[in-house]
Amino acid sequence: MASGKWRLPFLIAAIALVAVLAVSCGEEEEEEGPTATTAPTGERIEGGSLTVATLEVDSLDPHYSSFSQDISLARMLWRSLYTLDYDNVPQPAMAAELPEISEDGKTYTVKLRDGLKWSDGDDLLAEDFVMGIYRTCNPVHAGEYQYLLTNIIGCDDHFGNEAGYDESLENLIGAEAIDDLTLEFALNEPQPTFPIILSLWMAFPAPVHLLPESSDPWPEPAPGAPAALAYNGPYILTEYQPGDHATLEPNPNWIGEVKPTLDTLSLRFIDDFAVSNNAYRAGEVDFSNADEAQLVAIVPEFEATGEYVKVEIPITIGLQMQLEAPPLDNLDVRLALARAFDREQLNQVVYGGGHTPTTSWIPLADGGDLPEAFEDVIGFDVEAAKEHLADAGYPDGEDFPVLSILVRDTPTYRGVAEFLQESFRTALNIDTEVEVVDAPTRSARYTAEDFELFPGGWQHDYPDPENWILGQFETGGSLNNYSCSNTEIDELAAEARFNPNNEERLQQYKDINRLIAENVCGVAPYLHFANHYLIKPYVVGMEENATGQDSVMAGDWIAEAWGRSQ
Amino acid sequence: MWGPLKGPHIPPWPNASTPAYNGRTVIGYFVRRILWMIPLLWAVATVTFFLMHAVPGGPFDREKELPPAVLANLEAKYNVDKPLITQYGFYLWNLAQGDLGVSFKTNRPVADVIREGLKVTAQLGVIAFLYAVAFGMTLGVLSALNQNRLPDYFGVFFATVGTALPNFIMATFLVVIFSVQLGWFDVLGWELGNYRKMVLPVLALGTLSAAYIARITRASMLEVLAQDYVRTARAKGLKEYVVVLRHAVKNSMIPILTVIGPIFAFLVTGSFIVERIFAINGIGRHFVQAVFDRDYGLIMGTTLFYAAVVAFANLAVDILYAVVDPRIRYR
Repeated sequence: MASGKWRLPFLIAAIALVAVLAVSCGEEEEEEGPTATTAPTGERIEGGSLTVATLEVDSLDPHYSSFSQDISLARMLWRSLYTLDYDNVPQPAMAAELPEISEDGKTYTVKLRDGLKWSDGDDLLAEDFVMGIYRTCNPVHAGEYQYLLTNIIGCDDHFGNEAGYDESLENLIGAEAIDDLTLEFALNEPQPTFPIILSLWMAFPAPVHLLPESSDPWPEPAPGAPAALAYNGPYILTEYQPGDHATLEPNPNWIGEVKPTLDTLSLRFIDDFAVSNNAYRAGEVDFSNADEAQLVAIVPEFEATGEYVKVEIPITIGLQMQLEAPPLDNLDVRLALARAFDREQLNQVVYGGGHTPTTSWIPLADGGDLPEAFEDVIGFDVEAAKEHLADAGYPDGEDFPVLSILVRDTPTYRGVAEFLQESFRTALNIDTEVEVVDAPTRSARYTAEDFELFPGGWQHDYPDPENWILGQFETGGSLNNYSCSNTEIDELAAEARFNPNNEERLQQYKDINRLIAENVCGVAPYLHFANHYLIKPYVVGMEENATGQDSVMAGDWIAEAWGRSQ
Repeated sequence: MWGPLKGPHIPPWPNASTPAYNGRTVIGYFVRRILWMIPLLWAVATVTFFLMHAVPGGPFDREKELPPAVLANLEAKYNVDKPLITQYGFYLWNLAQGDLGVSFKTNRPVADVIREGLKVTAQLGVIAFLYAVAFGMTLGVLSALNQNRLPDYFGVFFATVGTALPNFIMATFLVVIFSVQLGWFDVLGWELGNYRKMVLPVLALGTLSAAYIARITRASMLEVLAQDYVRTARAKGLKEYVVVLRHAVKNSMIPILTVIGPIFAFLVTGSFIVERIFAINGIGRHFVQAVFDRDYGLIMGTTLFYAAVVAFANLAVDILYAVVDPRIRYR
């Protein structure tokens, strides 16, 4: 027990310690949000290595993968018949030229380049690409992006076969190797976006000489994986340490025009961006995603040196509304809610200004509209919001039921919910309750359509407006969890899907985009997301493409261009 | 972790009618405790299995909803489409054959995941444990021997701050000051033998336990130092270090041992927070992440593993009681 004479000094020391901690936590000055910036540029030197912080992959199997980090790594190791260029236009990669399309638009013939080889020296043939398609359509693998191949004849039949793998069904799949260098795809319907699909990871080739049957398991992300696989991408996997790192080296048989210059590329798996940011500051990694929660500190720290890079990505978040839950079935109620909160303020307060406020569901880069396109329809306007609520029969929020806002248990989502709650209370005089649950619970309830208000959104699978609409807004669509049902949208979606006239098709999707806003058909968009990166000044080539493809690393769509300037 | 321990039997001081201590008795006790672990682990597996399935959400719930056909195939792949009791039966059957199943997230054998993570976590845990025991006990002894003087105040201060400060706060401060600002140590990873990667994770993980051990040691030592036999030892003219080490410390070990077992189990099975902050590929993060992911396979495997470690740690403590205090016997 401390004697009396020491109590006062101890108390003073304790108070001093708390004061120091409080001061060092500091005041966060509110700053304007970061603006878009570009990655460092420069000439690449031959040699050197880079260490890149990224999330750990769940799977090395491109015919199964669904997470961005898995797809990022897969793109470094394998490439498909085509690849998307900076403007997301398919360009020949392993194919010699763009496909030959039959008159009815249902048959695609693709010729391979001469001399293609796997990294282990075996010939890369048409049968390897057919095997890739077979693997994605094989129910055994439960590939999460199989649905993108739904238009290939027989793929759905095999994938949906309750008895599992069936060789006879597999043989009916419309993917065939005519000879060693020629493939043919047979489609159910003409599909203008099919060449884009052939650029994506589910169409990557599978090494038949190593995995002769489509049901053969792909090596798991484990130390033995590198030696058990062959690669046709710019890099090969030489080391894989689960939960720690993967090491890549240039593929000696890479046929692309841009060649890797690095000796090694190390991917360091770090789950937490705050941790990877500290590693970046300490010089242990050359690239990191910036921790969004600390953008107010990170931007001033790194913007002046050009190390901070912001890139818009194809993710739109909005306030989703369950149209079957009264009074959300009333358009005026939905318009009132959509116009009652300030998107710019939400962006600043909750996201540190890191994203772009929007009223358009489909981003402009994906064939949508400008963010402010529907400002006069669903943009922030308290008076208009009050008017809509009164028109709905709830003047000044009178007798309006308490709606629930269902969110994930993260600081960001809690912040969004609290912001919306306060906005609705202030602007409309209505109360809402916030339900905070963990991610799987939230997903389960969303899938079961058991929600009223739900901040959520969509990230494109491929860069076409079709991917923003199909399944999500047609009546009864498999992803239409908010019960949007609009005859005009249904008709336009049906027409656009197989419309061979691309200009007309794109206009149809823009019309749907407008209808979604005008009817608040399930969602009131509020933000287009951006990725925030920290890139050392001597790193070159880490440039996103026009839409920031499924990315956890800047420029992973063309990782062969990464290098060092010193 | 801090659950009630089965109390050892402490008979009265030995006399002529007391049965003599017998090594075979200890072996019998040990074997009985091992056999009791079977129903214990079965109970843990059963409760965990049904509790896990009762929680909303499943392993294939995603931010972006999966198409129905994909979901059906995933559930078939991992037998999640079977009735619950059938899944339970499959699990117990596989477990009886030593198969812990696969991770639903990565499809890797759970045993492999545990083995890889355990190597790193065990290294970090053992070193953190040795630090916690050595530093904590030393501080506790010095505090007790210097009661109400400066060393005691420092010891109490360390014990109070150490137990009050969450380890994620401490870890963050250590990283920011010693890695980022001063560059003395690394931010990332763990490598045995590389001090730059060892010091901060050990301090972050072991300090809470060191503080707790210091408090327990101090309290126990003060009680023992007040005993008559310690006064007698001093009166006999024994050197102070002999009095302290041979009499006081040894006789104050029982309460310390009681907490050391669970502390060992806690440290060796890893800390989600510390492993995340230092990006260490240990098993600790799997415990928590598996629950967030609803990775049924990994949840079962890691929970059973943890239960087994705690059971063995408690058994080791009970055995050590008998070593430290010859009055304790097992039958």
